[in-house]
Amino acid sequence: MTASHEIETRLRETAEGFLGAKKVDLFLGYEKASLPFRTTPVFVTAPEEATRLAWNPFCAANLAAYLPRLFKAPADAREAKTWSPPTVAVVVKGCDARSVVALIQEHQVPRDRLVLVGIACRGIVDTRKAERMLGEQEALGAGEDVNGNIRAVVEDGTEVTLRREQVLADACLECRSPTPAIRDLLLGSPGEPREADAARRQPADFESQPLDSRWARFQQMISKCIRCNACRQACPMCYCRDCLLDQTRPRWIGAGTDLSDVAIYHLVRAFHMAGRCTECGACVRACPMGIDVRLLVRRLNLEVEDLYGYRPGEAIDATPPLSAFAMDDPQEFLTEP
Amino acid sequence: MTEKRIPVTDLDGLLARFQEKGAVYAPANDEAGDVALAPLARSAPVVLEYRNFRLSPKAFVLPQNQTLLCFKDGRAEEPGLPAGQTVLFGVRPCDARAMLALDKVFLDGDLHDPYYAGLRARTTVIALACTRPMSSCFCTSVGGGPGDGAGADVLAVPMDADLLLMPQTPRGEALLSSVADLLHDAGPSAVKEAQERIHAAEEQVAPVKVEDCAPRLRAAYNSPLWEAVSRRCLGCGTCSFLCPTCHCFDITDEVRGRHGRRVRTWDCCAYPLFTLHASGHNPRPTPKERWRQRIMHKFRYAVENFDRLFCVGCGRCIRHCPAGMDLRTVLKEVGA
Repeated sequence: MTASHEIETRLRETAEGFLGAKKVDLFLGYEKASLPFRTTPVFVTAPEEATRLAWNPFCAANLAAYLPRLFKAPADAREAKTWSPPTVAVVVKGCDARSVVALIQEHQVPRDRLVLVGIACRGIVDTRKAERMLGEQEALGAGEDVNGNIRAVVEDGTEVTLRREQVLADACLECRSPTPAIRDLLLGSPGEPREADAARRQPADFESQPLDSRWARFQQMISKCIRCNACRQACPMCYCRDCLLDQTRPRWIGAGTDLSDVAIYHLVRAFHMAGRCTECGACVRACPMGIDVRLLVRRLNLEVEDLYGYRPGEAIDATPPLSAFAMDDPQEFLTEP
Repeated sequence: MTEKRIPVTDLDGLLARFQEKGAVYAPANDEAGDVALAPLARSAPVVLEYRNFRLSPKAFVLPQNQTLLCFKDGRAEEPGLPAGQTVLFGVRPCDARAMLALDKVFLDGDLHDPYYAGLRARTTVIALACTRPMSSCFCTSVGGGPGDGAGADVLAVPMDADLLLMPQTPRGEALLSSVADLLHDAGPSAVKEAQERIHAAEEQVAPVKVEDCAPRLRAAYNSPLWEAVSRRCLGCGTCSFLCPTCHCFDITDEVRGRHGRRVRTWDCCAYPLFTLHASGHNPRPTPKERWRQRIMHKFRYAVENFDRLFCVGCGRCIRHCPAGMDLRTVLKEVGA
């Protein structure tokens, strides 16, 4: 297992080399943020700025979410005339790479303009889990120790070690392909994927409850939603130019937090993710209210996997089931007239 | 009326007395283990050890959804406000101070907003001084402080076994007078000790440079740096929905057949829809213009129009930004 700081060194060297040789116009990665347990995306365009790049267990955002907008021609017609798409290197974990693949399949980003800097991921920290484990103590600094556990320095100066497994994001605890399958280079040595059943536990547990309890659980969960759209914005697969939820003529969904409107928001998003969600968990980590936004999406994705043997983002030339028409489609879910 | 004190063990009794006047909200653990303002209930004990609530209390005066009027068959009627008073206990000084900013917009400006005014008039705020600010706090740089009573009706300072209660407004004085039998006079030594505690907390708050930010932001309007800083923004509304001073709203009609309602909901300048014209033109087409607006509104326009910053330094936008952005860093980066 390669230590994070070794990967970070190689990452900076790589970026410096790519930018210096003008192999890419932009190197999109992570930078240390102002608070512990966090990073912020960084857009590096000059080789001397490559030292800003960081790799650590807090690189939680899915940077694929920033890609579609980089390949959109300017709205201004005069600017658009002289515009050509940039070449972008992007740091990707296993899940992020799957998102990039799905975006390539859906023609949102061009493969030939991307350099995928894959990182053999060991799972990233859920900030909220880590902060909750510290209780009333605030972390003033955080890092990784030689065993891959998380070390935090708290206010009174003491060091606290948090076991990595206890603070990893849920999506990472269920991850079946932590190493990017599609990549142009790989930093770090691949680790072990999680057992295939890990992703099935939560949906199975949810399904085992009676219908009333499931509805109650869903309602209780979404009643916390403040409709800030963080889940949608953090999701690389939510790139629609005119999201149904933003349309005003007509307005399909009320703008506020009435339960029916919030329910529609979450149901629409879940259905649009079936067979498309690359299971990065960015939506869950983005939610300021701690909602398990993936509750229904997990199940819908498994539905597609079990029916069609398809997992989103695994191969560029695979056909996403919901974008295909097949004469031998089982169609069991359709009602005969 | 002078400073009063009440033993912490008598706090439940005090809040129960307030409940005779109306609804009382106090800090309690929610099911996820976070401390939040919740209706006073026997089942959830009042908590005094917490940093701040994830959600600011602005929803008590500016609800996320507010029905302004209902209509049916061509006739409209206003639903009116719920009856009775609301007492908020345990609001942090930054959030209490934010209400003064909201007052400027909805009460003291060119327009008087009856919906806000109605809720504000029935809300009594008891602020609880901070003894343990966080690293994301910067209240002392934006005019407030861990023991600032501005915007609150009563400021409570936690002492070892007591709460020191200092009225800040006539309403606060009246509230304390109504429960005088439960209160003890606080001696000058208690007041001095409270001031020392507040001072110790102030020392813990890291300063941020915001003096003269308005003219500097004016000069930085066309800076190319806006584009650089805003690239990280995902365009969600977390910062403004959690912000205690953000107050922009939208008004929509929800119509079903011949009846419906006109509802006011929170809106956010980070959304492209916020400034989209009916013609299809958008004067703030990219995150660059939208981020600039967010910073300009809080640190320049508010100063120019209302002579106060529309930021109270609570740090929620820093702590909860899914892209790890920090308002303080952005201010520094654009030279404000």
